[in-house]
Amino acid sequence: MSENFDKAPLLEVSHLRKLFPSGSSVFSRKSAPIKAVDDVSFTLSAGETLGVVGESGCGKSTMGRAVLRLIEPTSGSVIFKGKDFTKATGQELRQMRSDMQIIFQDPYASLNPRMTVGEIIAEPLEIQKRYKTKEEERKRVLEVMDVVGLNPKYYNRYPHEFSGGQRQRIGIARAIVLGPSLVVCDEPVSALDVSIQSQVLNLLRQLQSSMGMAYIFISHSLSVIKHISDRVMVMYLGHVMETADKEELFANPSHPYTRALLSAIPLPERHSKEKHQRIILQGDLPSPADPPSGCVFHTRCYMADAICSTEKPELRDIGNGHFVACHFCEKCRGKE
Amino acid sequence: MVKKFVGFFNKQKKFEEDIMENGIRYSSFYGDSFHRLMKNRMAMFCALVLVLLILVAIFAPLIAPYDPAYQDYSAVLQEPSSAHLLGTDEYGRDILSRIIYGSRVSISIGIVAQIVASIVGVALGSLAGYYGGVIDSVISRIMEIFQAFPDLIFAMAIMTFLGKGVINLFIALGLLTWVRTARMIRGSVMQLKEKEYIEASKVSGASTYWIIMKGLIPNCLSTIIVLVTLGIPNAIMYEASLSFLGIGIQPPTPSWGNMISAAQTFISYRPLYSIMPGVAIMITVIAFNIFGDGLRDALDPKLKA
Repeated sequence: MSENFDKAPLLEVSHLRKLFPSGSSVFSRKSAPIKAVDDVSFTLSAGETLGVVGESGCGKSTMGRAVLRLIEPTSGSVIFKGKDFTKATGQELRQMRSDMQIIFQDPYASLNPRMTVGEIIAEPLEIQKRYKTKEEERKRVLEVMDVVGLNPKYYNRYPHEFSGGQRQRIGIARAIVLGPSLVVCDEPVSALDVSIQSQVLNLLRQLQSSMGMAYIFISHSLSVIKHISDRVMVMYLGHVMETADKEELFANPSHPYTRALLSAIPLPERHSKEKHQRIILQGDLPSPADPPSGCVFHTRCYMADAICSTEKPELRDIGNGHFVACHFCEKCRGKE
Repeated sequence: MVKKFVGFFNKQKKFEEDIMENGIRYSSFYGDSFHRLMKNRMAMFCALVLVLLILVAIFAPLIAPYDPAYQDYSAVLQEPSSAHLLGTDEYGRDILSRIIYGSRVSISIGIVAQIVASIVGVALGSLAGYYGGVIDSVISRIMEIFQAFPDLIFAMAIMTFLGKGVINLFIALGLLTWVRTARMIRGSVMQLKEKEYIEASKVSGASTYWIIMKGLIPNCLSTIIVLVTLGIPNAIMYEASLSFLGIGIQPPTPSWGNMISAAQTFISYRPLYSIMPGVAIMITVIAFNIFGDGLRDALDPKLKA
């Protein structure tokens, strides 16, 4: 896959920002908007997987939806295959949409309970008017059902008859039926049993290698991210903290937050217990309506200094395609 | 250990496949609901009553012993007899025949008024719920204005404004009852539009029309069906009230409401004349209500009280 990285990027997201207006009405003073996603930039090549990790409420799902314009971004640009997706309208927008899809977290809420499996998978084809006849459409649906491992007998069944793992396969079939080049996977396995998780992850990897799709893979589980990603982006309170290739990030975490996250992965080996030191973060996630000044992480950081509360650290390249937003990343790195 | 785990997993998978392919027959949502409805004896009895009522309305000319407009001045205000099972009115018309013909007016007005109300209510309710913002505010304010008037006075005002007549009565009753449908649909749509399967349609480039017609309305359909069934008896009652007040269906066309209105003069002399149309209204309304409740329980088991 690495040879793909040199080509022009498939997706180029720059300075993406999404603000949600918060509780304003006639009777209350207008309060500050919630900065769900603040100044996020990244690029994604064809066939590549970007893992996005962070704790609940850090804006990773909002970021994924803003890239697809399911939530209109407040500012920033999303260049997809050389065209600005945020400015596309009408026919062009519809055309571009056929190339980007999403897989949802909740396999129970993401399938229309009044449609059969066949209708659900065929819906994108019908919206995009891909085929002229019902026969061609049906053939394509059965083909995709076979690819994701769904028995063709299920064509006329309703989603409530299926287990979580099978429902997620239906969701995956719907996402790949148009043959997209980008799929946003919004925590696609976190609602599933552990035994089913690996099946679905392996299916996603297998589909990627056969169809050459790029994934934005959102998850709060570092082990899942480690399994599937090529590159990893760590988010905190709507900001990118660190981004690097997977091996580099897991070997040399250079942001205090990433180190804290990595230290929280439970290790099964007994001997590692002596070396393994958990970094416990103090306090709760601050409100995104009122983010801390300077570095957003400084209120919970164990390395914070005076400069952290006044000056916002920029995302710096520390070599090897490794970007970190921390004033003390060198110190953090050298600590081990 | 691993082998055991895999073995367990395979067994589980086989079990699932057995269920799907050989074991229990799964059915669709409406199939399930139909089975639940069939089990509710009271609702099924009421359904039977309603079917009979509708058949009576359709085949009124075949069933009614007399022409409802035929006046026999030699036999006015008669007691029930073998010639006139429920007696005659002040013009010598057969009361039973008039009740049978009256069912046509009452039931069709109930159904048509509800269809009008549902079309208006579903359209405006789903627009308000889907778009939110200014559109929602405007539609919600309109609904509040409609609800701020006492129902009967509002209907009387519309009838006076539009003039008497069956079509105008449809419009008046439709305008009177659409708000309830619109409110329910607005609520359901607001809830449904956040669902991920709606987002999935959007991602594929679906138009708003597509999302409302394919994603939202089918999921509101059970609510709509229940609202219509429970709304029909309401409309029948309003029709009776308006006709009683003399601004609904005009004589000589028989409707249950205007029959009661005409009979009130003779209530102490011929009580059966006013009681029988009332009984007809009562049976119809109760049957629709119980059937509607049964339908609601069958379509949405969660709502069951």
